[in-house]
Amino acid sequence: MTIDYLERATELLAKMPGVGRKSAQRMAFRIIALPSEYALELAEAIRALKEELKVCEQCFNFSASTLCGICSDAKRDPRLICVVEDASSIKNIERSGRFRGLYHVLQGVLSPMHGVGPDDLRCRELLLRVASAPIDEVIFALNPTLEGEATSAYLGELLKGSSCTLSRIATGIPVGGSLDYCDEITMASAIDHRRNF
Amino acid sequence: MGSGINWFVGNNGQGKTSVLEAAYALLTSRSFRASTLSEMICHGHPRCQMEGSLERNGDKAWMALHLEQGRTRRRLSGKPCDTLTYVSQAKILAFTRHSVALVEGGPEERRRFLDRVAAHLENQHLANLGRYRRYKQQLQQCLGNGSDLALYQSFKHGWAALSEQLVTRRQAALKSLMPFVLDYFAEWFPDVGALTFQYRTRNVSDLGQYQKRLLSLSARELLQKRMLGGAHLDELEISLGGQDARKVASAGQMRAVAMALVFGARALIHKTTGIAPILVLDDADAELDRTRWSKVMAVAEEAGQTLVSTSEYAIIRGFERGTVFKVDTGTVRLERDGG
Repeated sequence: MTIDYLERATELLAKMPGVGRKSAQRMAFRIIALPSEYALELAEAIRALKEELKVCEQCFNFSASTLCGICSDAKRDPRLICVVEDASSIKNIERSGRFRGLYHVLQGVLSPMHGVGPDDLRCRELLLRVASAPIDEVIFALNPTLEGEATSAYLGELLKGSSCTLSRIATGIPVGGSLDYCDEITMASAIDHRRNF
Repeated sequence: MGSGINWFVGNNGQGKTSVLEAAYALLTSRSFRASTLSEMICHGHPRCQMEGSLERNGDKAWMALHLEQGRTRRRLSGKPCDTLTYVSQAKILAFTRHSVALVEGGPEERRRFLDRVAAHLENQHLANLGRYRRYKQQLQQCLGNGSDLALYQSFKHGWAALSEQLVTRRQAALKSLMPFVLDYFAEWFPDVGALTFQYRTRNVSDLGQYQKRLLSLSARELLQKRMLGGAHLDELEISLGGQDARKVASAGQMRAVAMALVFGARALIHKTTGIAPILVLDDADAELDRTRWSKVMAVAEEAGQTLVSTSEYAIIRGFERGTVFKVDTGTVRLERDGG
């Protein structure tokens, strides 16, 4: 029976991204070794994630209430919308401290080969947000993968008729990086998106 | 192995081709005769592995390719390695009895050859090919799903830009390659006829409007549910005496053209990058008279490492330099150390 419990925990943990079977097994053994309180707290945290956490009605970020902390913050600029792929991107942008507007989480990117089309994302909701409130600028901050690029291009085309400015975050050389190790696509992008001194 | 010519001598069916195939697969992660790597696993065995040390400009890298049914593992100096990094380590070209497909095979054979040459000249070409394939899958899925034009075009913009890059690279590679190929061809096969190459883009005549033209095909593509242009549909036309080589060339002439292409590619890559690709010649002496064979091997001897299989000791006798291995029932034994 012990083996069954261990096997079950390993199997479940191995479903996590970046966790192989061996790592999952190590995690399971570690959970056994740690005090019971830890295991119970972990189980409770996971339960709360699934049962208590909601999605913000406006931006689709994770939230404990109907509106997330960012959308309900009166100090944020509601005329700026930053479109991101998922909620984890918000954390990274917030860490930079450079964006004071609101977000819109698409909950994915277009990928027909994985069965993800516009109806599977929060595209319609973005169009409604832009149409129903005075928005100055929509910034696309999707990952620079080909699916991210295509999603930006798709939404950009749909929003072309609106009065707001459409922009995208710059791509290019990372700060502290070396030009010697820069691939051709990144370098081309850095040149294309250069800015005046 | 020796740094110059390495002869693998043995009777038919002793495993000479398998040795060369293993060396080629170790460095390219691809077989020159089987369509998939798993076909290289000996019947009845669960797995096979190839390992070897690659030396270049004083640097050494230990490469290992482990094959199981449906699974390939690549390791570089002991660490797991992605395909792109792995195959970028070595430059290697092969001329085998399958190389005739370069002339008589479908356009994909010639595109693949040109892409390999372009990738040896610039690694980025390989990464672009990977991105292009993924774009193509997305677009083909859109066509299969009957997606709307807006969604289709959103993928097509990036794809068209990438396609133009690939085509530009291929054309540049071909332009640089042609003088070498034509020189070898004229020297080795002067009596065969004029050889010409032409890169043709499908459904695009004005390269100045390349992306615009590809984007303009979208509505028709959605209607017909198939792509009508792009780098994956282009053709490298080979003509002999002004006529399509696929239709008029004899088997010997096709081999001659393929051989000139492979040797031309080696010379170009050597000249451009300063690295002479390793050359694999399997069964290359077939259908070549002694004079031509000597000329071909004289070029092979000029630079870099060459791996040659032959069933005849007589072939080797004219070459005093070079390392000789005897291949007998799957066992390789050093017979002459050529340094």
